[in-house]
Amino acid sequence: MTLLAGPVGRRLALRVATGGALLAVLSLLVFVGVDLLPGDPVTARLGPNATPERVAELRAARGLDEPVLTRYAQWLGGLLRGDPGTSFSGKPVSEMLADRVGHSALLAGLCVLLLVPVSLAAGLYAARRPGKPADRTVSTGALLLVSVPEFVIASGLVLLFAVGLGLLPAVSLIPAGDHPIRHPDMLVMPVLSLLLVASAYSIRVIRACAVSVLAGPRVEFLRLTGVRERTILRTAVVPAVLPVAVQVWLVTGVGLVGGAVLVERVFAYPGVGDLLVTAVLGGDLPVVQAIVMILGAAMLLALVLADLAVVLLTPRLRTGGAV
Amino acid sequence: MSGGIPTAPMSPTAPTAPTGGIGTGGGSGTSRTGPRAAYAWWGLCATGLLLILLGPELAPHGPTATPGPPYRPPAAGAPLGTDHLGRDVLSMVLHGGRPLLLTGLLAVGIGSVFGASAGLLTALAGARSRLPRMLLMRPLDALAAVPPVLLVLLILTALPGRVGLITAIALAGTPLSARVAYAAAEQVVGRAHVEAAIARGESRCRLLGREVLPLVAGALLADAGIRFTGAVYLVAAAGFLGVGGSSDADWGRLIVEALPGASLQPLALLAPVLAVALVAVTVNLAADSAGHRSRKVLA
Amino acid sequence: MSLPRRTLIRSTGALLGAVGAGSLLAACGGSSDTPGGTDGAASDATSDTPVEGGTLRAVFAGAGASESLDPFAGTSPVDFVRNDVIYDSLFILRDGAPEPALATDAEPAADGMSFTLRLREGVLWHDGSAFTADDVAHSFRYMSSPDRPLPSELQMYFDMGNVTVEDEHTLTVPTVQPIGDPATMLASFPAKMVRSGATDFSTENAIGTGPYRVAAFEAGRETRLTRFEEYWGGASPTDELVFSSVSDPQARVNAVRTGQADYAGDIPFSTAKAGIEGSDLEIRTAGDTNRTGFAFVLNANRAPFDDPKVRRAARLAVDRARLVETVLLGYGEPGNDLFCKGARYFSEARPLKRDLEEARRLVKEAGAEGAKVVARSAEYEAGYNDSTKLFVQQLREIGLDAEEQIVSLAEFFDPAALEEADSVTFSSSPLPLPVIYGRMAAYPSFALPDDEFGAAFGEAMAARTDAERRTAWAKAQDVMADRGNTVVWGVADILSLARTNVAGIEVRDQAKYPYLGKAGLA
Repeated sequence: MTLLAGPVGRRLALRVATGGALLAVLSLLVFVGVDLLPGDPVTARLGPNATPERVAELRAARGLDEPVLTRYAQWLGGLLRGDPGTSFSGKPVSEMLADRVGHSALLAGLCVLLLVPVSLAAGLYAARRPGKPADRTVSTGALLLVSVPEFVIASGLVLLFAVGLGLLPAVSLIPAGDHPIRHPDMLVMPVLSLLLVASAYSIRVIRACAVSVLAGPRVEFLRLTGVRERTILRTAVVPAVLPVAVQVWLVTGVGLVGGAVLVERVFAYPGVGDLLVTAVLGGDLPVVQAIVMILGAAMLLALVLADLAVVLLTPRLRTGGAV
Repeated sequence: MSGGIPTAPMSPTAPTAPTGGIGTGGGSGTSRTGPRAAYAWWGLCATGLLLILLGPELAPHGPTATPGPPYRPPAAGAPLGTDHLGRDVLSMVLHGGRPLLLTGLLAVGIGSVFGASAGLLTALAGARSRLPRMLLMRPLDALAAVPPVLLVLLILTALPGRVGLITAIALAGTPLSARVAYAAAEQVVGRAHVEAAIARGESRCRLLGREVLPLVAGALLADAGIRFTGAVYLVAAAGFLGVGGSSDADWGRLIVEALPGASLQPLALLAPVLAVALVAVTVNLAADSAGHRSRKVLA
Repeated sequence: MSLPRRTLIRSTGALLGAVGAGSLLAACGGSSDTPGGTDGAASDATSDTPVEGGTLRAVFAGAGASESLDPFAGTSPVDFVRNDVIYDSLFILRDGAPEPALATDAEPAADGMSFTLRLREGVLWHDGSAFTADDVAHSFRYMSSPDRPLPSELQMYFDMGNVTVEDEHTLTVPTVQPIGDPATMLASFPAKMVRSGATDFSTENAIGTGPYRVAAFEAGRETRLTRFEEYWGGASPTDELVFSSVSDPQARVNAVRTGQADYAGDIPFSTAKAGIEGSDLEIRTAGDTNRTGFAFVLNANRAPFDDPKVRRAARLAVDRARLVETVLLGYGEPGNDLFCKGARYFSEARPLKRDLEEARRLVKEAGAEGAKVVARSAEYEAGYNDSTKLFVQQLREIGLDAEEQIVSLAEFFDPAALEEADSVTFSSSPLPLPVIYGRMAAYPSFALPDDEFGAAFGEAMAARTDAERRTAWAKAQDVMADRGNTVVWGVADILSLARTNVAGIEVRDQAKYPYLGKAGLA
């Protein structure tokens, strides 16, 4: 912990402060941006029942005829009090988001937990044999997985494990009042689908970094001095690869919280990605704004952590050379 | 871990990477491909590229023509059958390559150049000033915090059509590119040969080009290569949400449209998926070999 | 006919079995692994009656976190189906005619400007209290309150805030225009009765008079309902109903296929076409009086479709057979350009035959050659965008410069944009005619500016006897058939997937939202 008192601590404090400032900027961008999205929340809500008179009535009732900055101020005030407003469906946004953010975070968290060892192992394995069949198999396999859309992969898993073998439930029908974590059998396929798609990027970047390190002068020096390959990997390659890998893992993980829409759909998993898209399609602006703010804050936090990781994992920076 | 940086810049003598770097697909298991195989490979790539670029001209039917009943299995005149609207699948795949390839390459290219420049400049300046970090990396952080789907929606609202799509995909990819570049470069900047160059007072451009870029090129290209497939599905997502130009029959949209009827006419889904996979694998393996070459430049 | 006609369709999976590469993709549509199965023989299944006890699990499309136990807030199939068995209406529709439920009678005054509503006696709420006129007065006020996200459409016809309670089981309801058949209106719009004073519809407070009470509810996931023994219509056979929200149609199919559910509502045509393996599964249609009409509504208030000739030309140009074959995969039949086939008073005119030559002649005669036509669509229901793309091609064939305008759902119903569009893709289930024509009249871009039609519509709304209504609706629909602005090109089957022992599922107002209050396992 002495680290935190030193240059790293100062740097972290500064980063958190800028993170807060960025969040404020983001809130304005998000509110105004979402407001500018095509489509009218009122007509989207009323659907085929939207007669012009009722549209005007509802607009006035929701305060939508006020200037955007006035509404932003009101919204921000509510947000600071912990009240993200009311959805166009008439429900409090906080109630709609309550469980779903956690459910998505669980899915993304499990996925990253598996992603770290899988991508590190596959990436390093390929990097030690650049251009050889093993490398090509790993790379091509990863590329094929990332080229096939996730809903096709997810549907394939359903066909194999649920319809064919009957090992796992096809749909994540989590009973009312239960948390998904109590139904691990319903989590296996969603996590696996996300992992198969998300691992390609990590594997490829880790492989590229490791190849570059392995071909570098330091590894050559170690080899010439007779250090064992395994030791080289542990002491020279992994430390050099980790700063980049951590960026990728964290950003991928947070991206999965809101970006796993199609996998959530295929398994009817009650996550926040599906809610985001439904809200965008239905013009439910308060919900969109709240979700984007939460995801934005999570991403900014992840980026701070990633920066911290770079500092901690890069010896030169850790000792304060850069600050 | 103590620094342990070698004191003298060593010339990396003949790294293990082969020249070709890309398999010929023959499954022979050889790690080194001769120049003839490499030529064959590049020839194949060129043919593929030509096929994609000329696709719309070669297609037997127009992108909106419906020459048959829906979901017809392959038959004479329609070797891949018809899709859900009765359009010829082969024609649709031929029509869909060019817009997708151009959109994807342009968007990823722009995003990578911006991202990599920002990341590399920050890493290089890191030792001396904090300004680039505040001016380049922090705004990109804010950009990263906006979910890609929303970013695409917002930009397409302001800037409909292909230009908007390219801008959106480029912007969605820039932050992570910058971070990968920055993190990779940070590992390199500390190396002796770079420090030596800084000590010699070499210009920043020269530093970037000669000392840093070759070492991080592999990571940058891997990042760009994968994001090309990401671009395909952002295009598809825009179609799914009903925005972003109406009638372009690009592969991403063909895949989304073919999904509901996949059991009736699997080829309508399989053909564009395979096309995307083929291009993705090619683009990425080409990036690998370019990465190898860039490291040799250093020698 | 108390049970809907259930049609059993078994299609072959041979197509997919023959394509080996399809095994991975089969999950996307569901297929049989056994090549050469039995061929598409459609037959009526035996009308089993459900046995006492057990749990029926059904999956429907939901609306995620915005689902609600408030019977006036829901917008998704699972909301409608769930709230149908928790709450009751004053009248229900059966085969298009109103049938008494919580009310026994709605008698219009001589001038049609009010009606007397008499309520059923001896009805109990789930908490044991009695159902009275105060509850009805409160429900009317609550459902039409302007603060609601979706105020009830009934206020277009009734003065909902000024109801007079005459005694415990009688009310007088004023109307805003002469209404001759208030019972049909009360049955056609979602007008569920809630308890006097109720504004909170959390799990504990969602109290209705229906055959099931709420045991557990989680928006976008699951509702568990238990039988209400004191139900006025006689207790239901099944102990427990479980509804799950599953938006993706293929996931609904998978849930039934793998035994996670017994019934899935609204499954895609492609799934039916590919067939489902399993001897205890069947694909059912809701019958040919319960089909969805797919249409393009032409904007008769702007050129070129302000000219009846060009409207007729569009109707002659549309390739109904092709659209039915492509968009509906044959699950349906060509339409006759009138909405609500299967509803009461629907006019069975014959569909226009495709005649490109005559269509081109009409376009030329109207001087509309090369006129710009913007066809607006969004994927509001599966098939909207596909049908629009084909329609645009067909309009081009008769010399109109047509192009599609595919937008997101959030933009689709923007009134200003609708007024700018020349054609809007639309669909409707067989609602009672007052509902569909009332809705269209309320939209400037959907309304038909035709005096004769307007007069006949007003007459039909005010008519007090069946015969008068029949005559007036025939007149109104004759105008629509002659120079109308709706191109109802086809009527589509509504399919569901069920275990063979699922019985007692009824259609009341719309087959997409079946009534499960009397359903169970046989």
